This record gives sequence, structure tokens and C-alpha cells, in this order.
Amino acid sequence: MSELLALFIGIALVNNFVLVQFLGLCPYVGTSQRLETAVPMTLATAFVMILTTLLTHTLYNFLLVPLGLEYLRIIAFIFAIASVVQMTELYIRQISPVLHQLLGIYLPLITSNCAILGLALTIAELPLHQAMVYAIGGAVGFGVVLVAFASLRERLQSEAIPRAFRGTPVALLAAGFMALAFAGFRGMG
Amino acid sequence: MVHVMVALLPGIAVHVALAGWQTLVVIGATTIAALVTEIACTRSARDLADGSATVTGLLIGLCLPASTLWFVCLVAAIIAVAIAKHAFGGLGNNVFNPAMAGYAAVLLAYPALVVEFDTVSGATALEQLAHRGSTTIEEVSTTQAFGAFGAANHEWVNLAFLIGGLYLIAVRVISPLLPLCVIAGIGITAFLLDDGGSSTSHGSPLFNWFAGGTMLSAFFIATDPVTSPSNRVGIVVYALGIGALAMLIRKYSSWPDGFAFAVLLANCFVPLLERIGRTRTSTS
Repeated sequence: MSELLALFIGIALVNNFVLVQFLGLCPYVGTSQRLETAVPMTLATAFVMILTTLLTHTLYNFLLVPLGLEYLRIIAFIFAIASVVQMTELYIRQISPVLHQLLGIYLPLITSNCAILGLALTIAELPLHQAMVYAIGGAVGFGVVLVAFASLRERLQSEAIPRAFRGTPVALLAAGFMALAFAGFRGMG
Repeated sequence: MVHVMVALLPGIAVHVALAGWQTLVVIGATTIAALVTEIACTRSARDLADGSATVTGLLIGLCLPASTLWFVCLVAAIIAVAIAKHAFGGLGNNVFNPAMAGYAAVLLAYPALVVEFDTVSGATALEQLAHRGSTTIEEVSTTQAFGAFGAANHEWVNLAFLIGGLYLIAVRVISPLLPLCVIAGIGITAFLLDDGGSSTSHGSPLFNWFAGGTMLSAFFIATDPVTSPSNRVGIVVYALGIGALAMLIRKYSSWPDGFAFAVLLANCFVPLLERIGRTRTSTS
């Protein structure tokens, strides 16, 4: 149990996908302008992360390894991730067209979210229960920093910000300081 | 801000008396660098009157060890004032505590130059706890890095900052709620982690209150009105979080002390805490 907790904290905080491993930066910057897009993006990404983990883990251990095709894992994983994202997109379009519009291009782009492929490649050889804890920890870590960053960016609208820094530059500076703060977890676990 | 500077004086005096005159050079260097950066960013001396740049410079100088090289002081002060404050729109708009942003940046950029060595007793008590192998707390605490109730020397510095902090509460510059919650946060976490003295124990709450930067952070850094929440629920969560995170970083991470990172981490969540506080008040 404590081993799983260490794994969870390890991936959620110490090796946070966004702020420590610098994976998944496109949705981190792209969907954090408003909390209204950051929260659904978090949920959609978490959903995709957990479902792809199940799918790619099964695919790797029950198809690729027995057939000796481990070298095809990247192609196989991208295929699995793309199908899950396609499914998620269809589902969101059905239940909330407004949300579908809000997330726009970032929804299909979950396919190319490097955090998800990175996750699939990292957990392929772990036992399934550890892989699931890893996926949930990764999703929680991604969601927490994305939501915090979105609410922080809403505060960065001040007129006092020098013109050269307005918009994306100051947001990237804030992301940098967030990464600086997360460096405090270094060496834990 | 004049009150804050007055309140810092006993701590600075004890710090300089125990750690040597070099600390005065470090504090002077960071303060002057912060003031010059402030003038360069605002292109006027008008904003100097609020004293915020001076306090930022003083706080960075107090965090850095006496042996810090001059250019490290310079980099820390420039990052603090120019990037963490003025790029975000100046005083009142900055999201991250400038002093802690500058200090954490040089801690990460020049780890070998900013290792906290005490000029009097060699490695500090927190350094020894972080790199002690399997020695028990009794064995470590017999070394001269440990004092009567806290870390050697640092216990008196912390006591002086505690007195300065009580002065700030007495003249109503800060409210007692925030520093009390920081102290409670680190105390409760230290108590829960303290198993009596095995090789993984990290000392009693009393030791952790009077080691490292506890009192300076609780009364002077975490209380920064711009980067801390304004509603009561937010303040309690923010301050307890800083205390708990600082203690967890002290014990589990590879850093000796965790306050700079704990404050920056808490800063990340202040806008969210403000938002939650607003919705709570508007619904009640």
C-alpha cells in the first residue's frame, strides 16, 4: 500500500508530467486561459489517460509481447490513443455541443498530448495495478496544475503588466515559477 | 513597510552577531541590487517610497548564507524584483512572492554556491538531518550543529524573528491568524512525523520551530499581503499548507529547508483559494 502511495505521489507531484517532465505543454498553455475550458480539459484528459492505460497495457502484454512485436509499440499505442480520443470526442459532442465548441482543436489534439504517449510507454512493463495507480496519479497531477494555472492566468489580466509581457509571455513566466515551486519536491519518494 | 524593517532589525542583528560580518555584506548586496533594479524597472525613484523593494532585498539576504558570492546575490535580487514583480505588473499584481522566487531560482541555478553552511558550526542542523545516513536523532543531535532547543545559532535567530513578528502583530501590520497557522502547520506535521528518535525521525515540533527559516517565513514572508489570500478560509488553508509542505520538504526531499518552495507552491493556489472564498461568501 505504501509502495502504491509512493508511486502516486511520485507521478502526481515529484515527477509531475507538466512541471517536471515538461510533457503535455500544449494543452497546458492552450486551454488554461479560462477555468471553464481547463476543468473539462482536465476531465477529458484524465478519462483518456485511464482508458488508454488499460488499452495499451493489455495490447502490449497480451498481443505485442507474445508475438515478439515490442518494437511496434509506438505505432500500436498511437493507434489505441487515437481511437480512445475519437470516442471521447464523439461522446462530448453528443452530450455538450457547447463544451465541444469551447475545447475546439484541443480535444482532438489530446491524441498528440505527449503526456499520454509518455504514460503509455512508461507503464507498459509495470504490473497492471501499478500501471493504473500511475495513470490516476498522472491524471491528478496534470489536472491540479492545469486548474491552478488557469485560475492564476485569470489574475494576469492587469493593465499594469508591461506591454511586452501581456498575454502569453507573462503566462509562460508564471508557468516557469510554478515549475520552480515544484522543484521543491525533488528527491521525495 | 517601516514597521516591517524595524521588526526585522533584532533578527538581522542576532544573525550578523552569530554568523559573522560577511552576512551583512550579503544582506547589503541583495538590498542595494533590489533597489537599483526597482529604479531601473520603474525609471523613477517614486516607487521606492513604499519600501517593498528594500524588504525584498533584506529577505533574500537573510535567506542566503554568508559565503554567497556577490553575483549570486545580484541574480537573486534581479529575478525577484524585475521578473517576479515588475514583469507581472509591479507591486499589487505579482502572483509569486518576489523574495522567495529570487531565492529559489538561485538555489536551483547555483546549488553548489548556495549550500547553507553555517560559518560558526559548519553544516547546519537541517543539512545534517538531510544527509545523515542511518544515524539516530540522538546521535545527530550531540553534534555542535544542535543548540539547547533548536538548531545551533538558528534558534536565537528564530527567537529574534519571533519577537519582531510579535511586534508586527502589536502594531497591527499583520493579523495573528496567518503566522499562527503556519506555525501550527509545521508543528502538527512535525508531531505526526516524529516517532521519538529513529533514524528517519526529523526532530520534535519545538526543534523544527526553531530551526531553518521557520519564524522568518511565518511572520515576514508568508504574510506578504499581495501574494496571500484575503478571505479567512483561504488564509487558514494557505498558511497551514505552507507549514505542512515546508515540513514535508524538510523531511522527504533532498533540500535541507522547504519554506521557499512551500511559499511558492502555496502562491500557485492562491487565485483558486480566492475564487473558492468568493463563491462561499456569495452563497452564504
